[in-house]
Amino acid sequence: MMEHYDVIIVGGGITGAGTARDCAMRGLSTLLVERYDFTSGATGRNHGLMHSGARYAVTDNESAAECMRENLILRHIARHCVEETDGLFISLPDDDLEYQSTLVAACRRAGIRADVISPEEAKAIEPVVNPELIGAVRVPDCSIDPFSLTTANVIDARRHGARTLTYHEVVEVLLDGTRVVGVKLRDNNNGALSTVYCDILINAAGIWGTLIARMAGVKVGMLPAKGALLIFANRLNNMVINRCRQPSNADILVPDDTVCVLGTTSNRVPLDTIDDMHVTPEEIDILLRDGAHLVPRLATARILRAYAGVRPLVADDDDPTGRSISRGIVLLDHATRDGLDGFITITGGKMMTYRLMAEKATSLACQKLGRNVECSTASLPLPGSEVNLADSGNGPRYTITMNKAAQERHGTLTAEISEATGMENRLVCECERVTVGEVKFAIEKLGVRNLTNLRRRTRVGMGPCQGKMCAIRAASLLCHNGGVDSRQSLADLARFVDERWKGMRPVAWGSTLSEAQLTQMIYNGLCGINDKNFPLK
Amino acid sequence: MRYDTIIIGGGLTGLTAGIALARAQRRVAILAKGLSRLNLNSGSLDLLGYDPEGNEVEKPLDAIARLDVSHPYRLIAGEADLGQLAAQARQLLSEAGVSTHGDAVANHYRMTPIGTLKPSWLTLEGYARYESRKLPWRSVTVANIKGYLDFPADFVAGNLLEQGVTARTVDIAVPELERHRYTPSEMRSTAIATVLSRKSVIPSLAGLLNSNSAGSDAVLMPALVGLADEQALSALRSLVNKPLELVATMPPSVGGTRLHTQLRKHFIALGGTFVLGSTVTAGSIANGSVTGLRAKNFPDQVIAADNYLLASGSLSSGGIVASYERVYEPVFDLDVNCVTGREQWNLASVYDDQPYMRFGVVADGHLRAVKDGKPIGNLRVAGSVLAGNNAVRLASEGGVAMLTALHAANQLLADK
Repeated sequence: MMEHYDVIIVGGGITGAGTARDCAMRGLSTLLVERYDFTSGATGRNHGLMHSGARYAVTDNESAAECMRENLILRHIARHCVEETDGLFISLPDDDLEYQSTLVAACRRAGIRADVISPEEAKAIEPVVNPELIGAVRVPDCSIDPFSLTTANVIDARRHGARTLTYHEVVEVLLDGTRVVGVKLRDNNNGALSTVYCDILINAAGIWGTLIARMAGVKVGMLPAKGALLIFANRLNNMVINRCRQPSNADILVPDDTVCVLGTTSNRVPLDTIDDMHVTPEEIDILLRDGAHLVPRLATARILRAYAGVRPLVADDDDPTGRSISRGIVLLDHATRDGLDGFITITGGKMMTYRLMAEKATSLACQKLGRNVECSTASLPLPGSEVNLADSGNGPRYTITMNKAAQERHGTLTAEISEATGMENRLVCECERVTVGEVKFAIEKLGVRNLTNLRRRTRVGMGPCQGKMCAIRAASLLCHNGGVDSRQSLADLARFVDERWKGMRPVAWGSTLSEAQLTQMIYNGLCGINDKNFPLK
Repeated sequence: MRYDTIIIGGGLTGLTAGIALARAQRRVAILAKGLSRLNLNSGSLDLLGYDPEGNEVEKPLDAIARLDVSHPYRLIAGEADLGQLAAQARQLLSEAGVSTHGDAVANHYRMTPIGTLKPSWLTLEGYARYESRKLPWRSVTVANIKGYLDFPADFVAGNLLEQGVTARTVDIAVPELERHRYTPSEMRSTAIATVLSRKSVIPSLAGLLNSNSAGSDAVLMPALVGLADEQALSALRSLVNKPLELVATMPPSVGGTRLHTQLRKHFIALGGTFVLGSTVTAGSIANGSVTGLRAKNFPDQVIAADNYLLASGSLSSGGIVASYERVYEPVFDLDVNCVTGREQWNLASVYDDQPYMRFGVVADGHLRAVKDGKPIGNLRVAGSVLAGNNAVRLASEGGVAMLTALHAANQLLADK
């Protein structure tokens, strides 16, 4: 029996997940395919910043206005993923205060609220800012969790009938003359090949989309831009702190749950390196040096880990040299562009404009399929965000702090966390306050089968101890409750400990190195978990 | 009071040296910062479990010759009989009330928290230990304490099965822990062990272990009994109707805590002074000798003695500091053996032979500290702060701690 869908979407990042939700909500039969786990690409290596648009107001006023509109939408439809922190743009003695006026004027043109406040007031509301600041502007920036945002979109896509396949990689795009008719998939868990057919293939694979396009025989010029970021072990700031100057390195510090994230650098990298991103010592030096101007305490604060993501910069179709870059959302209808029917690429944009990107791609797909259905993703809340928990009086279940931690990740879905045995409130991950109940919920309701999946859905192992205490607890629950075989679960644990080290390695000095040594003592020393006893591949 | 020796560091190394000196009527003070690495202890002490290539070592004393010359064992081998030091270490433990099994001639196996086996030197009485990889049981019951998360019973059972032993897991619901089970932070090893070691609880725990292990050759349970001494465990074992073996848990280690407590009490009983919560911040050196120490909790005082022993531990204990710029020893700024350039400190996989694991201070064969290339006459160094030992890969932490501590103490005793 031939498996056929109206649309197949390639890519389990936020764009693909959002597009799957939109397509399913508009009644299209939908399949979402992802080669590894959801959020395993650029979405999971994001800054977690929900721009107000102020950062782009001077250079690209149209994108800035787009950001602000989406910002307001996400505060409503994804409120459990958003923390309404507001942001500051601070000017330092090296900066030209003229730029502040330029920024404020540009923000106002784009419909972004921008209030000039005094340096004293800025220090009062955000005490960690560089005390030498000479000016500050308050804007409606927010912090957003890309993991729970993606999960919520996937859950809703499924609720509307979409099918999702993780660990399924597109290895061939099937053509019938000048029409895309389906894809061949490889199951990356067991190597099995399968074929699925569709009327429309939507390429939402981020930077990897250039490779998907190549399989379809068309060229989408993308320039991989690597951005390195540092996660600090404590949340130093309560507001997003930006440097008020032309966008540059290390000029944004975003508070994120119990930590804060400094970014970013920006370097073009070769396409063949995008699956293996390492943060270099030079990038660490740049981030620390420039970050300490913004917030002096960063110079001595403990760094948890470093990571890098790859953003797709799309070469402008009108510029044959490829030097001119489109900064905004890029929607390519390959039928009109290349004479290839049934193929759409959605790329460019930003994590926080994913919904608009999804809307544009879905509307084009609907138009091609002759379905005239309005988009409703801007008004219908995502699962978890149906009500505002702060107003609903949905009181604490276990303890106030643990309930709050779970609600921040899952919103109203927290109600689905079982309390059946009365012992679900025991903590698996003390840093991130993840309970046994939440881990079981992730196994049973979110389909989690390994520790990295679990980390992306619950933040297990993402806090200051980087899995030192919690990884084995979580692994044993996956074995006990998730039906994962004991040996397989221990091999997964060995890989997880190695994966945590990879992010610590570029910043392995001071207490980060001490923590790494403790982890070695516990897992390799005490337990005998290493690559010899449990091969990583 | 004027001390003969001040020891910086109150872990296994500092206490071993402290006891050896105090029992010879020396006036000794130990300045201990806080948590000892014994909190990660497995219930065993390892002398040398693996050679540099990662192969299991059967006869640790014989295998020492295969270690790099920079290793602490090689450093002292010319000056001391390591076999004798090892026997002295076991005797010292025994005098402190710590019964152990094993010797330095041949390793035995200890059981890890996941049910695998690792070669070891001395294992605490009552903890799982085996002479060979072939376990003496056909079937065992792995009895976890209900609600306890830091003992992965399924992994223990899975690994036992791979070793040909049928293992059944059960959860033991001790009524006295009922309240703990519903309080998220109470189900930690030391809190549970406090309850399970009570005289009043042991009979009911034994009864539950008996009724839940019918048909098994032995019962394995997480090491959650005996926080202060050996009595609780021996009482429990006498009431359980088949062999009962303790298996190490994830930290904090109840066995390690007990070992630390017993050694500390023994040291104090011998007349030693143990100052807890005392971080030594600086040591002054003049004419090749240490003249005094400054500590955080004695801000106006210079603490002085005839001799000093640095037993401050590895990176994770703060004995060595690796900052953004450099690797250094924070009290005396002693000569440090490390590689220069931050990128050279580590390797790509967490399981590689990480260079940083061997960082430590340089010493001579008499374990005298070295600064600017010259030995310091009255400052000895022992334990994990010494360079050249990747204690995790070699499984050598306990042996290096005790043997170098005893060597340093023996020399201080011989000096006078």
